[in-house]
Order: sequence, then structure tokens, then C-alpha cells
Amino acid sequence: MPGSIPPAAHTPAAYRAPRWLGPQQRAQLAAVIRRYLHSPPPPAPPTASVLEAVLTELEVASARDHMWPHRTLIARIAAGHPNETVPIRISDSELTAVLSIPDLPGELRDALTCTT
Amino acid sequence: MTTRPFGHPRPVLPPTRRQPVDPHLVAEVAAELLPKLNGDGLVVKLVDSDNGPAVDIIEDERHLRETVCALAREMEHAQVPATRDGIAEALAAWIDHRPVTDRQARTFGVAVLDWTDSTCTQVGWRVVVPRSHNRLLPWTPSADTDDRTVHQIRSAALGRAATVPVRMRIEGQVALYTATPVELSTAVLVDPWRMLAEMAYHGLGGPTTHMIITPGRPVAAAEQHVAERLVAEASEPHQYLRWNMISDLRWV
Repeated sequence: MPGSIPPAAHTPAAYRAPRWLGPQQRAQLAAVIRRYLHSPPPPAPPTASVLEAVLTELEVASARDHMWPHRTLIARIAAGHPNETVPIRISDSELTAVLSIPDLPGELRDALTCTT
Repeated sequence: MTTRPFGHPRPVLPPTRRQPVDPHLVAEVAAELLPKLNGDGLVVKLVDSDNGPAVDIIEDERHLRETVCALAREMEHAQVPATRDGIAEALAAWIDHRPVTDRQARTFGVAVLDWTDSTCTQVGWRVVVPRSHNRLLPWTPSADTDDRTVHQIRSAALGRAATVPVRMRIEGQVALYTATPVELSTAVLVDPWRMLAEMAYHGLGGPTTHMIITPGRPVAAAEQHVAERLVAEASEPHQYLRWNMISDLRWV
């Protein structure tokens, strides 16, 4: 049956806090995650699947902003983020998996741990 | 479909105080303005009704009458500037929002998706007609419109929707479809097979492709796991449908 989904009704289990990243930061983070996933020794399967989900989030965040820009625009202005940033919404477990990547650049680490 | 019968509201800042709109001034402005708007089957005129002066809009099978007092009251609520120019602009915008006639729908109608209810839970097809300033107005069959005419108008609108130029933009694994004006974007969904073919050409989508639809916004399409992640944090109402469910959507 066709059905409508109210906003954010899909994920009752995990709140995904926004992390505001620009296009270069998103591309850099995706490259870091891909390199980590494909370099030996590979991460444990649970961690790998969580990181795959973060990659998906990095790819859909911009499309989401394109689809529904209005509330994001208000939040971006209110928080004083640059125009090109979009909120990357990741859960605590996803954040933990990303922060566990050994060669995660410090600036990305800072951006991901900033929730304002 | 949201319409603003008296034009766009003024900016939020600075705060505005509602100004009373004088019905006599509305009648004066209408007497000057309306004769200039007649033509191409449209007749607008100031008439005397049982409830005082009124504006008549007559076009094809449609006839709309609103008293000058009611118009003045609605203009006041819409914070229309209570000046001659402000009233003239609002009156012209109101006339531009007049109901779409069957002839216009048959000639210019395009099928797009719209919410079927005020709570934005389901979408359905609706015939819209472009008017001035790229504004789309919905067509509603009149009480006298027979089923055969309704079917013909809807069929023609579906055919026209297939010819609306829609740009595809790729964001990661998501295909975004946008038309100009953006409110026409959902017209692309009359042919989901074409969307699938375009996506496949770019290495996207597949048998589990889902469409993410918010009437009036671009259409997004992606494989299920990607689409699920996209809508999981959606900030606005949307409909999330597997591509082959699109053909089940009904008319509003």
C-alpha cells in the first residue's frame, strides 16, 4: 500500500544529531572511510556495516538539503554555519565508529564532535 | 496546492500593523481597474448585488462573485497596503487566482502530484494550469463537467506531463529531478520507466528503486537502502513509494 512517512518516523531507535560539514569535508571523510574499509586488516563486520551506513549518509545529505531546504536553512543561519554546509545526521554508534578510524584528520574529528 | 490569492505577503521584518481597508476605496479602484482586465473570454465587472457592490468574474462556465466588503476584509487580513496601488495590485492578483475553466484545463493542463488531504498523508494526481508569473493553479471539475470531459482533460494532462522538461541531477547515489517552475517537477513521475532508464544509464537505481515525493519540490529516486536513509531524517512531509507503485496513484 502506498503510505506516507511523517518526518523522522523511520528511526525511533537512534537519534541522529546533525554535524555540519562542507562539501570538501564530506568528500574527505568519505575518502577516509573508504580507505579504512579497504585497507588491511579490514574492520570487523559490524563496524564495517556501520561505516557503510555513514557513507550512505554522506551521499544523501546533500540530496536531502536539495529536497527540503527550508528548515535546514533556518538552522544554518541560527547556528552561523557557512552556506555550503549541510547537516550530516549520524547516530552515536556511527560517530564512535568514525572516530575509531586511526588516521581521521583532526579537523574532521573536531567538526564531527561539534554538535552546535 | 497552496495559493496566495492576494499575492505574496510582505517580509516578516519590520513588523507590520494591520491597516483597515476601506471598501469604498476598493470599489473605486475596482471601477478603474476591472475594464482593463476584460478580454480573451474573461469578463470582470463591478455589479450591484443584494449585499452591496460586488465583483463578478465570468469566464467560460465559471462564475465567481465576491462583495467589495468581503474583499476589503480579506485584504485587511492579508495585510494588503490600504493604498490605491496596494489595493489595485491585490485585486489583480485575486483575479489572477480565479478558478481554472474546463477549456483552459483541456488546452494547458499538466498532471502533477499533490496532497490529497490537508494533513499531507497521501498524494494523487491533479491537473494544474500555468498562469502568469509561473504560478500553477489547480483545476477542479465544475458541477456541470461530465465524466467524459473529465477523462479527456486528465488524459491530455498526463500526455502533457510527459513532455515537461525535467533536469536530472545526481547527488551521490540519489537522482534528483527538477522542472521549472519547481512545482511541475512531479510531472516526471508519469513515466517512471524513463526515470529508471536514465538512472541505469548513470549506474544508479535498480529493481528496488524508490521515489521520494513532496508535492512542489524536486523528486528524488534511489535504491531502497539509500532512499530509506534519505527519508529517515526528512524535515518535511513526503511520500515514499517503490517505483512500480506510482501507477496505483489516483486522481485528487
